[in-house]
Amino acid sequence: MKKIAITVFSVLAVTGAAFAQGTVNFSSFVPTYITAQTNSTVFSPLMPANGGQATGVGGVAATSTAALGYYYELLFTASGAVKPTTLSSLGTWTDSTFFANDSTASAGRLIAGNGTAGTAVTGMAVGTAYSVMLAGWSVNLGANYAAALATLNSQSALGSVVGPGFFGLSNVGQVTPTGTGSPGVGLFGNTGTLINSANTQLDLVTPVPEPATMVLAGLGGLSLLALRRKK
Amino acid sequence: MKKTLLIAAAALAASVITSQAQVYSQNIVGYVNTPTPTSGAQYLIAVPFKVGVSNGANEVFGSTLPDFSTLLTWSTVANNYTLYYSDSTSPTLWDDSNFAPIGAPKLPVGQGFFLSPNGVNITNTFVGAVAINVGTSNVMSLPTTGAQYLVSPVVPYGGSITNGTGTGGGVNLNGLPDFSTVLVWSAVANNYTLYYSDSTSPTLWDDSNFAPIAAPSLQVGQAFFISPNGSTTWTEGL
Repeated sequence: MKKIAITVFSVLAVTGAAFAQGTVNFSSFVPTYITAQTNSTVFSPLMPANGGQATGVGGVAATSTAALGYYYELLFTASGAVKPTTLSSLGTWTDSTFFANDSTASAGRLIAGNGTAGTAVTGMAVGTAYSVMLAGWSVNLGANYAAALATLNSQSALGSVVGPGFFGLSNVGQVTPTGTGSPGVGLFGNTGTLINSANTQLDLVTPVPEPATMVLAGLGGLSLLALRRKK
Repeated sequence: MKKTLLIAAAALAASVITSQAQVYSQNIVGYVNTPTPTSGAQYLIAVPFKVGVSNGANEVFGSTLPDFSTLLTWSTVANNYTLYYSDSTSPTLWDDSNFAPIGAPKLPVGQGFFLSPNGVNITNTFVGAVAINVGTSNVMSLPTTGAQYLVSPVVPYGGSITNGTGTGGGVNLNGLPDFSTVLVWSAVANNYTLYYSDSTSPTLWDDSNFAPIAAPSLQVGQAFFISPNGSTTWTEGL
């Protein structure tokens, strides 16, 4: 009787295995393989208006250690994908919902926000290869990936962002979840083609007022003031 | 993976001990080499000896681990891992997952952990004393049905887990309740092989499809998950 019950369980288990979700190790952010920098010298190449152009101001620095200053989301799509160059192609990647924050102890490093070693990813099947990457952004673009992506796709929303906004993508890796157990397939390292993206660049996505523009705006204001005084 | 062991030293010590009427210490000391050759791969290992005062990671590894190697310790109660980074610039030589200094993890005999070296061709040499004395046994409690215990033999035995008895000779996982599970990790495949204990199987073990299969076999210093299908104990002797 016990064996019959176990056999039934086994059938269920095998049935479940056919749809089993693969697990990834989303806990170890070894700095040799993944760190992040803000880069305010160029606009993000993802931005349609001025993507890739020099800003004329700013610099490059490791992301700060301010608590919850930056988020990093694990995205995946079918194997063989390349790094998106447009917002529309970025939108075809699936959000794993696993995120990391910036380390509060060491600049430029990441700490897991929710997923850990052996975390099952909804939509990732065991034995199937996937392309994976991290999307990183400053929290002023949104407190989750969907909100940040919505901000990037809206000029009015971008105009309302307080302070410089940053967004960037890591390199694209290829992983094949091999099981449903812990600790799961690694996302970083030197075995296979993994994300491995030290100094991932988070580029500027919000407009930076240029000095000449500021002067013109100031002149306009002075003209209005002069007109009002004449009246 | 691995291993060299006691062998001659153990045999010699045992023969000396049995002939000398319990006057001297019956500790056996030895070493085992546990290679973790591939950077970034996950190795499920255990320290098979008592090392230093507390089996702390710094006592076990010294300064041999490359910076930012990762170590995962398992909590059966919480059912999850705690992550540690090796870091020679940390005052404790270890960081937590936030890269803040943290005390070195304890790696007691009988408890497994995942080690992922941040460098290639690393061989970990564990040197220490066998955790139990000759003529004694250790009883490990595995009380919770269905819980996952990350364990390793407290005596540095290798081979089939059904070798031995409660007084020695091997790993001695013979008394498990039927359909307890054992998960043996492969660093190369990055995956587990599942075994069911089954007293009705001609080999006493089934694979994940409930077909008879040879009992799982371990190397010295190899850890594995065990999930008992009923409260049980694991007795190992020397």
